[in-house]
Amino acid sequence: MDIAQWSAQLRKGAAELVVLSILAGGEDRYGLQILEKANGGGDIVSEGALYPLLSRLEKDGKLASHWVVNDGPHPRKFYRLTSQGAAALPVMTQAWIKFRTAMSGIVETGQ
Amino acid sequence: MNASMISPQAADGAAGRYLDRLQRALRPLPAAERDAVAAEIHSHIAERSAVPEASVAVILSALGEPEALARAYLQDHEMAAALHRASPGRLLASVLGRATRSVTALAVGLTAVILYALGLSFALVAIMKPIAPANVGLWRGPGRFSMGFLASPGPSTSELLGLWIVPLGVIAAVICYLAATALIKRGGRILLSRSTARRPL
Repeated sequence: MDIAQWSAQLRKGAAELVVLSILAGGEDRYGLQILEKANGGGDIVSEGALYPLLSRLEKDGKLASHWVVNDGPHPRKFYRLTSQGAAALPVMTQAWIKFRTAMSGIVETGQ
Repeated sequence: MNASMISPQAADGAAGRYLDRLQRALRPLPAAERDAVAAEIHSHIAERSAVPEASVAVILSALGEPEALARAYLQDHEMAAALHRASPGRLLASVLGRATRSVTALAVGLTAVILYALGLSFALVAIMKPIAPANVGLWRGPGRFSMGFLASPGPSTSELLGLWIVPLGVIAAVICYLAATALIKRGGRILLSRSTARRPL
């Protein structure tokens, strides 16, 4: 089987929760900061997937954004969690914990 | 600062060509949104390029082909637009197309078909009444209560509405049509949001 494709599918499902969790601290972050934080512990989300995902989350109302022009050498688009995004996060986190526990019970105890 | 105030700056070389292709592939999006996407990707490339050993080729290949990147942005947009534009007939066809996989689609599709058929028969009655006034109407007789065409209404059968059936038929037809159309638009939206939720990023 194609292990690379399979793990890409795994990461795709996780990316939204990862982005919301990274922004949960309340600090505004721009795309590259989110990307580096997401991939700090291993490859989770690629840049080609992150930017469209940020756009979709913004359209869904879970994120809000603003451009900062004067702060660096080039304009940066900063994102923050909206109240809707903040409300979705604990629900998704709970679902993730249940999923992870169930998976561990099946997959890891056999070893 | 508002996204619409950001316009993509010119970029040189490979990055410029990448952004041109991205912009071209994003053409279905509204101009302001397209510019905001290009500006954000440009900002990403510029930021990554600022590191001394950076390679533009590596940065661009990590983003993927510009057309593939654009497709990821366009998916949501195109589905919403299709729903907005689609004729009732096409919507109904697409809802019925899912009827074997979804109970909601089956229920919505069948109800819409029945409503359209009902609307059509009201309209036919309204059209036929002036042509065959003696044979079209709302009939009541022994053991009978029906609307439509009777070849030979017997003496015991009476017609209830007269010419009033024309405006009433038109109104009923319009109501059926609007209700069926609203139903499949709403149903289509629900089905669409489910398939969007299931779709991988």
